[in-house]
Amino acid sequence: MNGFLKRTLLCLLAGLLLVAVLAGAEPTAEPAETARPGATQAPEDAPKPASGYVLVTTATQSGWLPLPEEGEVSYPLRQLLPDGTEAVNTIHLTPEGVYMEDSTCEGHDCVKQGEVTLENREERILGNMIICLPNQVTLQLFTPEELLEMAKGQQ
Amino acid sequence: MNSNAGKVARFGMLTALALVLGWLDRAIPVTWFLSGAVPGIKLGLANTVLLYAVYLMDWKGCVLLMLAKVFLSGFMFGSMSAILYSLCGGALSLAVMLLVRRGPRVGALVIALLAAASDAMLLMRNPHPRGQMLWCVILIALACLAALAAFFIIGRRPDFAVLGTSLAGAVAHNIGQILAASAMLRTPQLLYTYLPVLVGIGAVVGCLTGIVAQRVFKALRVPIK
Repeated sequence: MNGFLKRTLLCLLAGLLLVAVLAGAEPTAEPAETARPGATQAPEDAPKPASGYVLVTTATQSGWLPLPEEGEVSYPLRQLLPDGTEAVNTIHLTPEGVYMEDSTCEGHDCVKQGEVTLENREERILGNMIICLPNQVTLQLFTPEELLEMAKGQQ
Repeated sequence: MNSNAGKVARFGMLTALALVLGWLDRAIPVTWFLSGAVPGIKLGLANTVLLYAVYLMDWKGCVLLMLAKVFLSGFMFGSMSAILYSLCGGALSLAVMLLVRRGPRVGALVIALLAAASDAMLLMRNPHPRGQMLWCVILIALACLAALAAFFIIGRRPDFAVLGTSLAGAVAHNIGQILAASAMLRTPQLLYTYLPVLVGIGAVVGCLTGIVAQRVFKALRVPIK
């Protein structure tokens, strides 16, 4: 039993060490962003893209909401769930990010998930997502560059 | 105990117990740092009843018990979508538990590998975790180690076999739920953002319920073979 315990403990320690090394690894130098020669210059009077776009997905449809340039906006999202109940999720947009202001679901997990901003996307467990499981609503925050990439992928 | 009346009595008792534990699951808030950040975390005490059934009843009885648990507790406490999530989770979990019952070590090993893979996935998504992400990575690493430890423990002490079955069942429940959720929410991204987190948490919670079940089985003298 003694040898067995030792072996198990050793395994545990080795694993923890591995995680510590992986988590604490030095960031690799990112290649500097260079201007692409092939990219076309946007005309001067073209509308400025919003700082971020929110993809709203429900059980039946999906759509995009741009983050406002200034001020804050609330969108009540009304929908009829497949079992006939009416669900309302109030989506609150700020210039920095998005959060679920209110919801008709029971646990209010989506409200507790807090705000997604372009800064904290990497630190949140759910990344760029806010999920309301009972009302089947997901919000995802994207940068304009990611939006362009997605559009290219679909073509 | 093998008479019809005995079977009916046992089935009714287990169903009632599953419903009460299901209520307890909802009543105990898992108020730790992850709650709120991750929706839909429960202790899964009701699954210990299913674990008990897997060792004591034939597979038909298990399926019936699972269906009764899902629909009755769904109609009492949940919504339509909650029923669908837990039906998918329960079906996959039961199938895996019935399979793993014969080889709980394999189950524990597979869960350890799954947890390691999901930790790697999280680190790939975010190579330098901070804040909540860092805690999550550490938690999943711990889950992987716990599953590995379960693998060794079961090899040494066969009476801990329940631990492996419980681990595999808990994680399979989460996988089934996420499959249902990503289909219903039409967001396949859930599979690589949400699933790794739930696999880790499921392994930790599965270990806890497994230890509880092992104690109960010992007290009730349930044969584990």
